[in-house]
Amino acid sequence: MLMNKKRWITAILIIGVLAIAFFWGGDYQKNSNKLADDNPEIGAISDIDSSHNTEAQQDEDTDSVAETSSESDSKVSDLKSEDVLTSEDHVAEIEKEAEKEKEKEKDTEVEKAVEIGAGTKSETVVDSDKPVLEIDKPVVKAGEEAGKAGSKQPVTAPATKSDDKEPTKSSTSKTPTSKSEITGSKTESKKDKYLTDPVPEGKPEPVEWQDVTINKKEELTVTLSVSAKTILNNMDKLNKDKLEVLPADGVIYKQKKVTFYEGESAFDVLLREMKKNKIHMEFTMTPIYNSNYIEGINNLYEFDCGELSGWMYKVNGWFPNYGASRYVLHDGDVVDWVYTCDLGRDVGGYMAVTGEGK
Amino acid sequence: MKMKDSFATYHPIVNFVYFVVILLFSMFFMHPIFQVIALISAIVYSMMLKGKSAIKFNMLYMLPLLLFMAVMNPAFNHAGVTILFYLDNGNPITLESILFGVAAACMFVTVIVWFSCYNVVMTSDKFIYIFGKMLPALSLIFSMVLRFVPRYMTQIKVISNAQKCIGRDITQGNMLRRVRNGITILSIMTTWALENAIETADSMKSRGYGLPHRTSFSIFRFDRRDQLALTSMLGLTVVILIGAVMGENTIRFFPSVKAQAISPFSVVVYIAYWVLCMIPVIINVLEGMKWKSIQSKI
Repeated sequence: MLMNKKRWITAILIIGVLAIAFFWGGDYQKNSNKLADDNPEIGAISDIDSSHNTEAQQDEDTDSVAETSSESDSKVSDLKSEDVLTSEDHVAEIEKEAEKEKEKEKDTEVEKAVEIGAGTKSETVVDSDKPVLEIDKPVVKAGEEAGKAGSKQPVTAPATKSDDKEPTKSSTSKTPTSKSEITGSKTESKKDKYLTDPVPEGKPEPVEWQDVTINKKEELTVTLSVSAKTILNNMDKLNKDKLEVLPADGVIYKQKKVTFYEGESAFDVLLREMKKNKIHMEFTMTPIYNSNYIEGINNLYEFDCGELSGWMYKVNGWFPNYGASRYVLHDGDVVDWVYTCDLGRDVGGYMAVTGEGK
Repeated sequence: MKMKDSFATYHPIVNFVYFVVILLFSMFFMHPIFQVIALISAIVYSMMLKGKSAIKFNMLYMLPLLLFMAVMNPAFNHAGVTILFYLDNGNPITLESILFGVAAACMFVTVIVWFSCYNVVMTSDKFIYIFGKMLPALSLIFSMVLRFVPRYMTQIKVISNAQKCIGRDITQGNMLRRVRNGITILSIMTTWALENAIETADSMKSRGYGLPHRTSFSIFRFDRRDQLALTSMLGLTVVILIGAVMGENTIRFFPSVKAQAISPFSVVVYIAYWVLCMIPVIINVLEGMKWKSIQSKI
C-alpha cells in the first residue's frame, strides 16, 4: 500500500533524526570532559567521578533488571503491568539511593555538578522511554531535597554569576542550578538572604549597599588595578573581534593608589575610576545577590575568552564570595580586578566559585 | 496611484523564490548600504502595490517603530569603544550601540515592509499551487488561516454597518451603551464565524475534499519571461552570495564599527543587490513603457 510505504519512510526519517540527535548529545558530553581536562587535577577527579557514577548507575540498572526478572519468574501469576510497575519503582528507589550516595561523594564542585548534569543528560538521550522516567525522577527528588534543606543556592555573587549565567544563556539552566544547589547544601547549610555562603573567619562580612551612608569628608585610599593578563595565555579562545581592545600587556588599569570615601564599596571605586579614565565598563544589578555584576571592562566581556571567562575581584589577595557592591573597602586595601578564562582557576579564585571557604 | 502589478502575474515559483531570497538577504546583511538599498526598494515597491495606504502604513507605524527600536537598543546595550555619555546609573551610552540599534531597527522595518508586499503578491491560490503537491493539508490550512484576519475584518464591518442602521453601533449612545453594542457585535461575529466554519466544512466535503487523484486549480504557465526573470534573479543572487563569502555584505558593530572598505568588487555587489531588490519595480516600469508605446502606435 502506498500510504503504508509513506509511513514507513517517515518513520525511518524520524529514527534517522533521532540517531543524529543522539550522536550529537554524545559529542556534547565529550566537550565538557575536555573542558575539565584543561585543568589537570580537577579534570582528573571529575573524570574519575563521572565515570564512577555512570558505572554505578549502569550496575544498578542491570541489578534492577535482574531483580525484576527474578521477581517476574517467581510471581508468574502477577499481571504484566504490575510487574512493570514494580520494576519501575525499584529502579526509582535504587536511583534515589544512588543519588544520595552521589551527593555524599561530591566534594562540592560546581564543575563536577555540571559534569554530572551533562552525564545524566547524555544518558537520557541514550536510553529509550523508560530510562528517561527513571532519571527524571531522581533529579526532581534531588531538587526537592535541596528545596527542603532550605536556601541552598549557588555560592557567590561575582563568581557564581558567571558560572550561573552560562547555563541560562544556553537555556538549560534548570539542571545545573539545581545540582549546584545540592552541592551547596552539602558543605555549609546557612546562607544569608542574598544566597551568600558563610564568610571565612577573619574576612569582612558583606554589607548591603542600601544600609551604608557614604561619608564624603573621610577620604581614604586603596590600591586599584584592572588586568586581563590571563587572556594572553588563552589567545586561541579569545573572540577575534576583541583583539583590538586587548592591551598588549593585558593591563587595562595599572596598579595605582586612588582615593575613595568612607563606606564606598569595591564596585563604587571601580566605577568611579573607570569613568574618570574613560575606560568602558558595563554592569547590571542582580537583585538576587543584591550586587552589581560586572559584565565587561574595556569591552572585554564575560564569555569573550571561552565560556568560563569573566571578571572577578580580589581584595588583599582574597576573592570574596559575595558581590563587589557589598564589599565595603577599608583604608589601604588592595583591590584587583582580574579577568579569568577558566572560572577563576587561572587566577586562584576558584574557591570563591565553589564556596569552599578557606 | 494603484495599478496592476505585473510582477504578480509572473509564475508563482518566480514570486516565491524572489521573496524568500530577498527576505533572507535583508535579514542577514547588516551592512548599512545593503540596509538602505533594501529599505528604499521595499518602500517603493509597497507604494507601487498598495498606493496611498502603503504611505500611510509606513509613516504611521513603521517610522515610529524604527525610531523606537533605534532608541531601545542603546538603553540596554552598552558595548562599544566610543563612549558618548553616561546614564544616571553609571552605564555608558556608546556610539556603536546606537548605530547597531539603528541598523537592527532598519532591518526589522524592511522585513515587515517586504512581508506586506509578499502578502499582496503571493495570493493563496499561488501558495497552494506551489505547495499543494508537497504538503496538501498544511498549505490548505495556511491559506485558510492567513485569510481569516482580513475576512473577519470585512465581516465585522458588514455587521457594524447593519447595526448602525438601527442605532446600535459602537459609535452610538453613551459609554455603557457603546460597550453593550460592541459586545453584541462581537457575539454576532462569533456566531457567524462558527456557522461559517461548518459551512466551509460541508462545502469542502461536498466537493470531494480528501479524495485521491484530485488536481489543483491552476492556470500558471512557466514561459520565457519567467525563465528570464528566474535566471537573472539567480545570477544576481550568486553575485551577492559571492560578496557575502568575501565579507562585503556584513559589518561588525562591537567593539568598534568595522566594515570592508569600498572596492570595485563591492560596488558590483551593491549594484547587484540594488537590481535584485528593484526587480519588481523594474518589471512594472518596463511593462508600463511597453504599454505606452503600444498605445501610441495605435
